[in-house]
Amino acid sequence: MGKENPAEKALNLIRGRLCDPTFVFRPLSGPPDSNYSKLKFIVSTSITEGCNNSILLLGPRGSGKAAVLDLVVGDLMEEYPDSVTLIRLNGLLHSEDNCAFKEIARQLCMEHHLLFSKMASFDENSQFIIAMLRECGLAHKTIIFVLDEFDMFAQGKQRLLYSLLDAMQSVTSQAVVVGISSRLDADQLLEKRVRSRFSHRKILFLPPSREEIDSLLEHLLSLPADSSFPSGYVTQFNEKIKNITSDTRFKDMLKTFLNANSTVNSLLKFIFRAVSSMNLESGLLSLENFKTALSSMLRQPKLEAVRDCSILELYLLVCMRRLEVKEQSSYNFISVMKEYKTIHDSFQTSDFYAQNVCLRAFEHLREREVICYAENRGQSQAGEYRPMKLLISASELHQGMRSHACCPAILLKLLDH
Amino acid sequence: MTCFILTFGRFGRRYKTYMTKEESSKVTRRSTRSSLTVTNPMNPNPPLPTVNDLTYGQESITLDALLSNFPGRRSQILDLIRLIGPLDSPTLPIIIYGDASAGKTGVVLQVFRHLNRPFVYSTCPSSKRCDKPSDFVNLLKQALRPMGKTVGLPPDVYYSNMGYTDPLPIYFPDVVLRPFCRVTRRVEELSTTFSLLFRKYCEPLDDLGVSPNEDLKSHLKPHIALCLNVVFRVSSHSHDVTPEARGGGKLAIVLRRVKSWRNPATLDASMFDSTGGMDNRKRKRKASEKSMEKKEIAEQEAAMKGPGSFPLERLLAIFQCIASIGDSSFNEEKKKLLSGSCPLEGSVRYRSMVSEDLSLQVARSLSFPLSKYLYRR
Repeated sequence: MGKENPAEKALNLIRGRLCDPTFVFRPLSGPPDSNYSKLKFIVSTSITEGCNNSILLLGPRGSGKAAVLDLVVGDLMEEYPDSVTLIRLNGLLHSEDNCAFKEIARQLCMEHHLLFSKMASFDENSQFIIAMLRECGLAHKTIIFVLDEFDMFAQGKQRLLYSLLDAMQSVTSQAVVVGISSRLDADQLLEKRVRSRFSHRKILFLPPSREEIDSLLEHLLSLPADSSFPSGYVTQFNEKIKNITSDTRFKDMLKTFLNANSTVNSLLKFIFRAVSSMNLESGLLSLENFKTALSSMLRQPKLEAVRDCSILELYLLVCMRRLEVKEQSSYNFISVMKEYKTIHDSFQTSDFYAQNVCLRAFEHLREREVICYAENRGQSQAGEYRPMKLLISASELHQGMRSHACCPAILLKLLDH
Repeated sequence: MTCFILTFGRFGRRYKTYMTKEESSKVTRRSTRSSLTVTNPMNPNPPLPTVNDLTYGQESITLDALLSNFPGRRSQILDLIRLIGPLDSPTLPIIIYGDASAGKTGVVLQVFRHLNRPFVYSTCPSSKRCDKPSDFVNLLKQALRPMGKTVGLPPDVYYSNMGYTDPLPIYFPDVVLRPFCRVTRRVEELSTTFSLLFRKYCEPLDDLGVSPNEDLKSHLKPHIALCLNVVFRVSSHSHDVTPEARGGGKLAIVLRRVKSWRNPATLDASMFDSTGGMDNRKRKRKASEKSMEKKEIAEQEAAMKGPGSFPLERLLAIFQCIASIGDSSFNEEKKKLLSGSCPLEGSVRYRSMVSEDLSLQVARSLSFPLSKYLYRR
């Protein structure tokens, strides 16, 4: 590598940390009443006592459910080597029963170095799984089934869930079923017979508190005082971080961001964006980096769409809005063109274009999903006669036009009346 | 570190998703862009492609060249480079969004050329829509398969994708000069205008004494407005069809409009008898305010619904009433301007595609009193 710029090294280090969930969630696992500890307790008792268990991890997307589970599993595999087998399924890919059984059989074969046949039928797979459960139970090896997107498995007949949970009860097995879902009512989706076999253990992943966030920031952004960095640089860098995080402007920014996205994952992305724009010459982070990151993370697509419209497209949008205000329940291209013509006649605007040009502008608006057809049926009608509707509110249109680079003043006036 | 670039379209809006995998050591037999692979047919054992084959394959370009190739995209390019980061640095998925022909694919590929990093590029067909994430994964598998039967994504790539990580967004806004953005901001459509204008712009330069300066721009101004209306001329079906149609054909167009314009079939007989007396009788009724309102609403509704559909027999019947000639050779011409739908009965119904103004124009040219025969409540 040669002599690397310490700033670049610091950048790489922090970026690496942000992309590694294990690093991020490790400090959150410290306290004894944390989710990590609870989960670890449940799974480790199952390993040590040789019993079955089932548990649900619930929380919004990006709150670290899978990350904490990975941490727990990783730690347990170190503590009890050769006693733990991990089977991972994903509700988005394996919600169909055939697919799920095949995948479980395949992973079991891989773990235990057996030959897996793709041609095996559904019954063969399920018999194999039950046999493996029994064998592993007798050999005191625990199988952990991780069902990601658990609510997808609860659709349809729930055959997989029933078979697994039933097998766990009837056969001498040592298995833990961990379901991960972002639906907080995932357990309500279960059928009666499945629910009776499922232990009602749930671990909720709530958004982090202010103290947790502060400690997380420090954990992520502080450089270690080891020999790989020049020591003066490390103290300078960490000092700057402390200054930024204690600045009220930063706290306000953080509050604004967390109001919109309160999960740990979105916070990580915010920091990633800020860190990526670090000035490599000075090698230090600044408040500016966080400001630019904030504006790019809090985007408003509809506003951007309106800001990117051409003048003619703005005219059409204003015409549609005026028709709505006049309480015309539905309108189509022809009525919008009539309104456009009346505006032109009464105000003598300079932007009056031919019908085909306007039709193209309409198509652009439709592609950008600022407007759409009001109903899906009636396809046999020509596009000009199909009823349309606006997909943006009046205030969004107003805001977009005000921030538009060259919106004519007459349009704003027309929108208000 | 290998990067995956996927482009896929939805309603003409194109998104590019860019993901990275950290373990470059796991690069087994991934194939490259088809233009870059050169397999020697004589060699029975072609050498396994290495990571180097995944780079752009041409000379890298400097940052200044990259920035000058894409004017107006400076902030987005720098943003993208910063997010990709230095060599061997992991990054989160990035999504680049913006309108069609905003330069997204171009910029991404050229950035990779500049950075000289390996990447895998595939496009998903825009005709397919993904309703479920599992469909997306299957599409992904399909899209990557043609690149070589050995593109085997290890399963954990799926898991990292399916974790629903919100990618980091980069927005490519449209960048166009002021006067031209009045009609459209799409570069491809403006290119027709620009070519015309550029020719006009160069006109004064034919006079060798003149040197390019601000005066050229003022010469250009009056043409700009004209050209903006021309922007879409190339694609629309022109109205030149009608003057060339024969006299009978014109009449047929007019008639189509008559039928389509919501004339109830039952009134045909009374409307088209030689006296045309029905209309006069209707107009004598006094218009009260309520009926005026109703009329307005009915007009609106009529404007909303557009022309109605009619069977061919009705067209011919009315044609025979009006004109003494019942020439069947007009049928082929009629088919050109009609749109047909096939309802359940099996008989084909037609609908006029011609607008009201055009039919009135045609009627005037034939001195045919069209308004007398149009049903207005």
